Parts: sequence; C-alpha cells; structure tokens
Amino acid sequence: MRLDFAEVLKQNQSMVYSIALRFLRSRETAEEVAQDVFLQFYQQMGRMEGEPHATAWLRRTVCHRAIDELRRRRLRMHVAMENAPEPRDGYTPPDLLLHRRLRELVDALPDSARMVVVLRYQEDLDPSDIASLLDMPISTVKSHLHRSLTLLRGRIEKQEVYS
Amino acid sequence: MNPDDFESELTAALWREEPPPDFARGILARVERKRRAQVRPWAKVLPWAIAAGIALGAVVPVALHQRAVEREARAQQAKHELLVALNITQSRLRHTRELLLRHKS
Repeated sequence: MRLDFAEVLKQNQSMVYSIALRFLRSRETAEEVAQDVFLQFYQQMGRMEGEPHATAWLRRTVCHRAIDELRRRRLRMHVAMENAPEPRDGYTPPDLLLHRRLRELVDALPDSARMVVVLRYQEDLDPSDIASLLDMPISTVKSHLHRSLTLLRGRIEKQEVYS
Repeated sequence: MNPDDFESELTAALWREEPPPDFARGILARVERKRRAQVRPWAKVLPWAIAAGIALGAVVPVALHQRAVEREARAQQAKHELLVALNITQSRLRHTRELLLRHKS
C-alpha cells in the first residue's frame, strides 16, 4: 500500500514530537530526534503495510531513538524512586494549575518510570504494549506505574496540604 | 482525590504538544533534497569530474611540450655525433689518400 509521506507526517508529528519531548525533556533535542525519525521513516516507507503500521513503527522508533539519546548523553539518573528529586520551581505562581504541576512531576521521574508513565497516560497504551515497545518485562512496567502514581499522588497531596 | 480521578487528571495533563511551526516544512525540504540526490546520483560526482578535467587540461599540454623538447634535444645530439663521426672518417680518408699518393710517386 503506497503511503503519502506528507500525510503521514501531518497525522503523526505531534505524537512523535511529544514522546521525544517527554522522554528527553529538551525541546531542541526532541525536535532533532523527531526529524531523524521521520527521515528514517521516509527511507523505510515502502515496507509499511498501511497507516496503523506506520504509526506503530514511528512510535516504536521514536521510543528507541530517545532511549539511545538519553544513554548517549548520559542523562540516566540512577536514583531510587523515593529519592527522585522535587522539580525545581524557580518561580511558582500562586495559581499554578494542577496539570502543569503534574507535567513537572512527571518530568522529574527517573527515565524508565517517566517513559512508562508517558506511554500509558499520553499514548494510552496497555502495559503489555508498553512492555513490548520498551523491551521490558510486563511486571516491571506495572511496578513502574504503581510506584510512579503513588509518588505523584503523594507530592500533589503534599502540595495541597501546604498550599 | 480518588485514584480514578487522579489518573484522569494525569491523562489530561499529558496532552500531546505540537512541534514548532516550521517542523513539517523542514522535514519535507530535507526529504526533497534526498529525493533529488537519488534521482541524479551523478550530480555528486560531476564537480569532481570537472575539476579533474581542468587539471588534466592544464597538465597534459605541458607534459607533451616537455617530451617534444626532449625529443628535439636527443635529435640534435645524434646529429652532432654523426657530424663528428663523418669528420673523423673524412680526415682518415684524406690521410689514406696522401699515403697512397706518396707511395705512388
């Protein structure tokens, strides 16, 4: 099935860019990685069997490229979940929205946990799909989800207590 | 906040962001450049071929001229050696003639 590259780009650019952005926490790097993924897709386009296949290929590729980029830049933080630092606020407006706070907290998670949370709640993937995408045991995926939600909820509730 | 509500809020918080406005245009431009390079593979080689041709065009005439000069020099040398040999032969012939005339008389 012949795909239209411009159409695939239009339909999937926000997905690819957002995954890269959440994983890498840098707009500039996310843009570079996302561009490389689409250029790689262009080379492989003849092998795609339809739009769902193309979307799945793009999602998988951007995850792996982002992981490679994190390893290359040595941004892995080998910290236990409990020791994950609070995000630096700088200036925190009194009317900070819940969603902005949640994004900051997710950005502060360790890499693997953050990837799992993003794929679950941004991309709406099942734990089994996440396990396959990240080459991770499903038990590890579920563990990351459970611990991350507990941590995030705890920090939001703590902020509510002190606000 | 109950767990279901919290997960709903988390889903709402992690909305997809749009890339910068010129993102798609930049990718399409790079794709077009790749496509043109693939259609005309000789385009990469052409500048080097032209440069090589210019270099050969400058070097070959000089080399040819040098060989012609060397060939002329060798010809002149051979001519000189022939003349020397002829002079020697002429001189010997004259000497032999004088001896014969002396003997006859």
